[in-house]
Amino acid sequence: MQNRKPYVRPMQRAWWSENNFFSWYMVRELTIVPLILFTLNLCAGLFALVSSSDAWSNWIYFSSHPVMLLINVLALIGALYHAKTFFSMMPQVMPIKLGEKVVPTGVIVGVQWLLLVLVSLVAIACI
Amino acid sequence: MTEHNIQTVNILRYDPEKNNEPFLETFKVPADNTTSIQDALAYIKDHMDKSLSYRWSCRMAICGSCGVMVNKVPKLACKTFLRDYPEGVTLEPLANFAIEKDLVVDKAPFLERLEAMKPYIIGNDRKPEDGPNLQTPAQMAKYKQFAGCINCGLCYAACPQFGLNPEFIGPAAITLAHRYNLDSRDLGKVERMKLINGKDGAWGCTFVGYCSKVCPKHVDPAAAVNQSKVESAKDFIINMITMKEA
Repeated sequence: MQNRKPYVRPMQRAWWSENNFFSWYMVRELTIVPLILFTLNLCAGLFALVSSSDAWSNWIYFSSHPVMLLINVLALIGALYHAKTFFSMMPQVMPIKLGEKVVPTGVIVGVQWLLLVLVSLVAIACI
Repeated sequence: MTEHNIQTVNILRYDPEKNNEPFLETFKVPADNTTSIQDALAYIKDHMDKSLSYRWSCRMAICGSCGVMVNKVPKLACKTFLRDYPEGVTLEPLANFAIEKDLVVDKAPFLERLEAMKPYIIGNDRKPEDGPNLQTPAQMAKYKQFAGCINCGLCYAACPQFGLNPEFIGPAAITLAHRYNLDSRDLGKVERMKLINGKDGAWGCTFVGYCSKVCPKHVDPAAAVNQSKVESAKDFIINMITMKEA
């Protein structure tokens, strides 16, 4: 033991690019970026709505810009991907039991997607 | 059918008495369909370089000694076969641990964390004369999956949070804490929750989930760690209501 000289391998800055699992994890974390931009724009829209009709028209004009449309599309794709990862983790974090039986993973994931579709349909119907 | 062919095995070598940093060395090893990574290492040590250091014991995925990185993926050497790597393999010591020599790492950080979590039944005053401490199948089912951990450390090598923050208690130790917290015979949850509630406890996990992917015993440490977050949140609320210190 007197000749110990442990070698510590430094963690690479691009550690997440070394394997696909980590890369997809980073994609999941990055989905927050378009979602933040989408949320900020949505908040700006609400403020514009309560301030004046001019502000509202300006916000509509701003939100129709191709860059904003692209951010919206990215936010939607990001939110769906995040939902997919979240739904698949749910049975691990909160396993559900009915009586003595554990509810199968597929059922928990399926019910969550079903709820997402139902809530989306209700929201679309309300527009 | 056992056809022998020659396979390339690259090994990250490091001798603390001779080297300042690790380097890759290539060996050509005869292999057939049944040759495990551990068999290959034994062949190299017996026939090519007796100075090669690696850990092993049971050869059947029970002792948890032989964890190595196989093409950057944490695996048990005894449970991984050369036939699945026709292009050859690169073996490195488990990631996120310091290298002692060749494929041997210093597992002390993991063992210290495991010890701190008190992974044994505590606070139970039963004596042998009280007879067996019976559990119902349902009580056992609550923790059985998490009791399969063999302390191999693959989950630590798979955990970027442990790599980035060496203070993080990490997957296996939290899993074992959760396993005992779920055991109806145990009364030590209050003690363990103090560590799990801390910033380097369960909340240090961001659910990358790779620990569960590489676990050779399908223990699902990511589930245990994230169920511990739920327990930690409950613990926080209960302590807040009862005005106890967390």
